[in-house]
Amino acid sequence: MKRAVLTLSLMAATLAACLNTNPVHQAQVDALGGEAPGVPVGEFHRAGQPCGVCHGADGPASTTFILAGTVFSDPNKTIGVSAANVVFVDDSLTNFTVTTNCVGNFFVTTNDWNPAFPVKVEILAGGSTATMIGHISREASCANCHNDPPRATSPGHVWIAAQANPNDPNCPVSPVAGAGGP
Amino acid sequence: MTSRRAGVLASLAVAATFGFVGASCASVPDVGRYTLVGQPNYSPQFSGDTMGNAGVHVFLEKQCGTLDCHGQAGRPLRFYSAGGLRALSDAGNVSGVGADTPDEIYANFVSVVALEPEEISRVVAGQDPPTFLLVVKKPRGLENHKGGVRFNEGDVEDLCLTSWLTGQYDAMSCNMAAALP
Repeated sequence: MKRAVLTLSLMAATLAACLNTNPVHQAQVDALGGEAPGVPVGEFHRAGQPCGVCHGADGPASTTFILAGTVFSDPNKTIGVSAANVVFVDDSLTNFTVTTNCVGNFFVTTNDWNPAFPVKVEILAGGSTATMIGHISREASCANCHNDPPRATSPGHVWIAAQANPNDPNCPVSPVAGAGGP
Repeated sequence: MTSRRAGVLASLAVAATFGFVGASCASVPDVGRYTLVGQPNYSPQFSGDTMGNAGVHVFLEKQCGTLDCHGQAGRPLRFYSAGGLRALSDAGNVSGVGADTPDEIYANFVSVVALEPEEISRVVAGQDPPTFLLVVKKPRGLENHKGGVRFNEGDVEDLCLTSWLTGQYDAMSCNMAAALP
């Protein structure tokens, strides 16, 4: 009986290893919920969510981001800012700049840049500048720290005082986070 | 194993269990007993002062206490700061707003001391070097650290921290460390 239990346990452990299951990571992915209606998987999806949860070493996304997030136009609204420049400076004083798309999303893949953390960051949009008080020590997703509501553990979502059009006709999806398709 | 032998072993196990439980319950805890922890200076060396000395806490919070590292409540070494994790209080302080509160600075001090209270006592007493402490070993890269090497021996952060721990507080190094971006 004991031998049978031991054998079954070993088989279950082997199966779990083969399936590469990580219940903690899977719970984080599941907590993000499904896609917004009408928003295809791609650069415009999941604005404001922690990109690195899926776009990290544990997947399930196929691309891996080293830094990614969303820039909004107001501390109280989640309307994405288009064409904002997000300027990173790493510990070796190397600059890297990325521009947000029409929902405010930006991302830096591991093929684009391999920064030496910690990384400082500044956003430039419409004549305004927003400089992060601290630095990014090692986290890929802005939204892992910058999420709503603002409280002891989070300063709230990333935003800059800049114009943003919630009905941008040139954007394939609504720039309002979670609103869904056009 | 014969049934007689199994019975003898079982009896011995039961007897050992009762003996252990009995010994554990035999004495009443001494409510007056405490552990004395030798600790480095809190004020003004850790907390800073109003005469331009930043104190050790500033660079620890800036360099280590970000929300994605030691600015997290569940960590054994946990730092509160105005730009990172805020301590829960009636004031409802929000991350990124305002300034450190005295309670947050003191909580950071306690976090450093309580990380390895017996070892820090020995360091403060001069019995062990500061490199015996995780708070020095990890950022120096002498022990595995997810945050990597944060400073090297002789850097201003290192001088600030180790001088404070050994009672030879180097205010200038701490001010320079506090000014680092």
